[in-house]
Amino acid sequence: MRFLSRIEEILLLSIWKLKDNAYGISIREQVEQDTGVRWLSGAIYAPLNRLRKNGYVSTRQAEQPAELGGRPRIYYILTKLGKQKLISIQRVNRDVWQDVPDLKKEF
Amino acid sequence: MKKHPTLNRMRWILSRLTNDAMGTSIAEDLAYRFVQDSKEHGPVLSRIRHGFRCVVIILPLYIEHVFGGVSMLKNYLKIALRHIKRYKGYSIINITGLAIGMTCTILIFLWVQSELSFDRYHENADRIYRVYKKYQMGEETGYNPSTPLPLASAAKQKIAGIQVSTKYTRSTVLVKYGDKIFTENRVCCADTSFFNLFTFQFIKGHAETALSTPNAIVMTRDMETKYFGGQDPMGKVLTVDNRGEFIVTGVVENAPVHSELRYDFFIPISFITDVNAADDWGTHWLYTYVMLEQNANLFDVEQEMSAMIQERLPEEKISLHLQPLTDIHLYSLDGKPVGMRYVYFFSIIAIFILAIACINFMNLTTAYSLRRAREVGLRKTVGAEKKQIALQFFGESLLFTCIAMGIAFVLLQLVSPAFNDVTGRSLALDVTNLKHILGFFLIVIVTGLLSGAYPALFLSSFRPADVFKGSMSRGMKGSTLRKILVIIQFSLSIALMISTSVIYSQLDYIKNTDKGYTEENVLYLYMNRQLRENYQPMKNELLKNPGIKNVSRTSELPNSIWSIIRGIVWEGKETDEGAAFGFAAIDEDYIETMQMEIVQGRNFSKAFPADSANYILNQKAIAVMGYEDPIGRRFTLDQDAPGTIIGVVKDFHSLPLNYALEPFVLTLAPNWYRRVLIRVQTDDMAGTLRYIENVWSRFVPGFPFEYGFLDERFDSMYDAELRAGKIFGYFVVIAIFISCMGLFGLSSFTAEQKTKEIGVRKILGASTVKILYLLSKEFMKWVLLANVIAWPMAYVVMTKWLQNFAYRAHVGIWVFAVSALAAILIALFTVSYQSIRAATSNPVDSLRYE
Repeated sequence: MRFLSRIEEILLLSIWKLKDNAYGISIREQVEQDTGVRWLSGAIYAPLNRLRKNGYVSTRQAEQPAELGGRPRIYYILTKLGKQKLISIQRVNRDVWQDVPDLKKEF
Repeated sequence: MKKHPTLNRMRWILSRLTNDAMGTSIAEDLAYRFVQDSKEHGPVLSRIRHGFRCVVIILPLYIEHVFGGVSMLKNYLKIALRHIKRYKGYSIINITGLAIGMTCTILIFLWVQSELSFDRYHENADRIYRVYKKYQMGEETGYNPSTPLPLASAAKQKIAGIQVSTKYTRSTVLVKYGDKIFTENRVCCADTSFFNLFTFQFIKGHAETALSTPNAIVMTRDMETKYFGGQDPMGKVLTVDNRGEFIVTGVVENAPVHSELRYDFFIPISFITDVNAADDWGTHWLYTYVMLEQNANLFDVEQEMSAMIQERLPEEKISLHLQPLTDIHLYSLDGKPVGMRYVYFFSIIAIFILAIACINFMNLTTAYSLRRAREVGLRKTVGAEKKQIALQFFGESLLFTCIAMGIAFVLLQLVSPAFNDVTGRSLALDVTNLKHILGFFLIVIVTGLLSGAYPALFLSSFRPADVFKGSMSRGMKGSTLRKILVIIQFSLSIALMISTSVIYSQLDYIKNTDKGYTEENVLYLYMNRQLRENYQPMKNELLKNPGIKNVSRTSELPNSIWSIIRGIVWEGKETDEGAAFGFAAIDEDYIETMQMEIVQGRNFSKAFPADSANYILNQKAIAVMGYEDPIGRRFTLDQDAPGTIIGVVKDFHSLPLNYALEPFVLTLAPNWYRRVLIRVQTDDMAGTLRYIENVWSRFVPGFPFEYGFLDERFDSMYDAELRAGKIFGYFVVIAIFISCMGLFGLSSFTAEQKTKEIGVRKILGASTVKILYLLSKEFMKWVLLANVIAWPMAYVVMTKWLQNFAYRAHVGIWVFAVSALAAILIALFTVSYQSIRAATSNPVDSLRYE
């Protein structure tokens, strides 16, 4: 199977967590909150675009309420493929981490 | 959310780079961040951060969009560098060709820019004009920038459209401060309005008041150092011509190189004007400049001004006109593009050289394209689009150009001192000048586009099936275009070569034309008051030295006599004919000193006291008057003192050869003597000079000994032509060099292509000479064809250039023939290295693998 890059994985997770409210800004803020560092826009959107191209996420356009400017906003939604991908990643991660000796123990 | 002005534009750009969805998301995010930022950091910082963020986001998206990701770009770069390294010869030829081409182009454009910027630094340069007059003289129309003294102030008073007017003249005076005495020939006699009209940077003193008193003097920074060293000059007293005392009232910045105004000192014009001259409209000796009002009508002002002078001088056919200040350097008064012509010439050379370098690149890249054919095929097979491949190779060309740019930049620094030496300017690429930087990058981009576009399209059009089947004829694709390009390249080189030989033969012609006098070994000194008084004893003393043949006095140097005299009366002259003759005041020894030839009559002589009212004319003047037997005829310049013609001299060139022979009159007029001419004939020039200096200091104490040689003035008289010749020469060598590099590359390519053919031919008994012929004949055909194109091109351009001169060298067929022969030999020589190597190689090596 093709592995995702770490940021792609994080992005997918963020979109999953945000459910219906996953759009550009909220995704970035979610990522920043989870990782604890500031991200450059390019580092977020280029992989996001790649995820979209590869069919892991899809988009939905919705008008914003008038008091917020009334401009269209793009929401991102996990596709079925994306969901499967996340599940398989979770499994791999769990397997990989399963028999790791306690890292806090000294040599 | 607040509305952000650039949001929509941003969204549009981003959408083009990716897709609508991405564009919308990112633009929204950027706007959001901007609003957040401006709350936190204030408007300025947030704007900077916003700008930075935009760039940072667009770059990776762009790379992804165009190349399909950063990794793809890395791959392209790696492949490109690998190729540069593997095919060193090819890369070196391409890069050096481009670098030299770019360097030349940049140098020439720097020069052109400086040429076009003459006098543009004045604040209102577009509204400043020089007044010149146009006058009718029989059939001929004359142009002259000298104007009468009262014109400036009268015009300002009477004519509505004139905002400021000023007048000035340049004079040569002796300036003395303490023990420092120098002859200064860039002394402007002007008044305060001069500083109002033109823009001057005053370091000390004020423009408004500097020349307001009759004994004020203003100097440039260089002069301040020359006379005062570190002292403060303000208020100090300078002695001018040993008679006037002047108080320094100001110091201005040195005269810029790109200005037609040349000055070291300014003194009030009253120093040289006569009180009685205030209403003298008949004597024309000053330059008048005017600054027009914003909305003034040029034509109306000219009309009014002409009316003004016609009223004063009703019998003369004179009209006044205005020439824009910024045109003075580039156009002559009758509108001929004297300076502009060189601007065009050199721009064309620049374009030629760049074109030659680009053609090299195109040719070599397409010729060697076979090496890349498999790469292209493979890339296409695994899914690359044509657009992507084209971009890849285009990017590669840009990479070459960028490397060449770096080299060009270094070359510029190395070469510009030498270039400045030839051009007499101080040109340099100024990295703080936005114009220069933009120009530099423009040239780089143009070079990249020119040289990269065709190879990119060519390579990207390969079809994978053809490539892998091997059915693509080896390197033969695009060979027609390649031929045409090489022919163009050589046509340009040959045309440049012919032009250069024509320029040099014209310069040679000028040097060797019989001028009617002998310039060599004549020394000139400046006349001054003291010398005037002590002339006779000093002359006697000088003639005691066996190395000194003759000593004489005259008004102007014999090879540049600009004086013209009108109001001439002669026997049988039709009164309305406004004849103007060249004019020089000479003494009895002049004709002998200059070794001129008297064809009829006699020389001036001390034995005939009446000679002061007599005249010697040249043959042209006699022809103008239509005399068969001129000697003894009545002739005069001055109605009150009638004189006769006593002699006729052979025609002589009193002006640079750009000008035609003039009818000329020579007269004894002691008041006009300004120069002393000394003919020396000696093996010990240094000793003779020492002797002259010695005599000088005895008879003319207190004046510095300053002299020059008449024939040295040749260089300054034909300055523009000599410089043009030199610059042309250098660039032609470079153009040919670059062409040859290209030819070298192509010939090695051909030799490589034909290795097997040569092997087979040799086995079947072909001789080395036969094979050499086989390899070279193609190139020779191209060069011959190039000649056919170049000849008419060079002929047209050079005929045009020669029209500058009244006396032209004959452009014989041999100039063309020699250039053609040279081109053929050079091409043959270039090609021969590779050909000989291929022809003498052992067929075993080339056929071993078959």
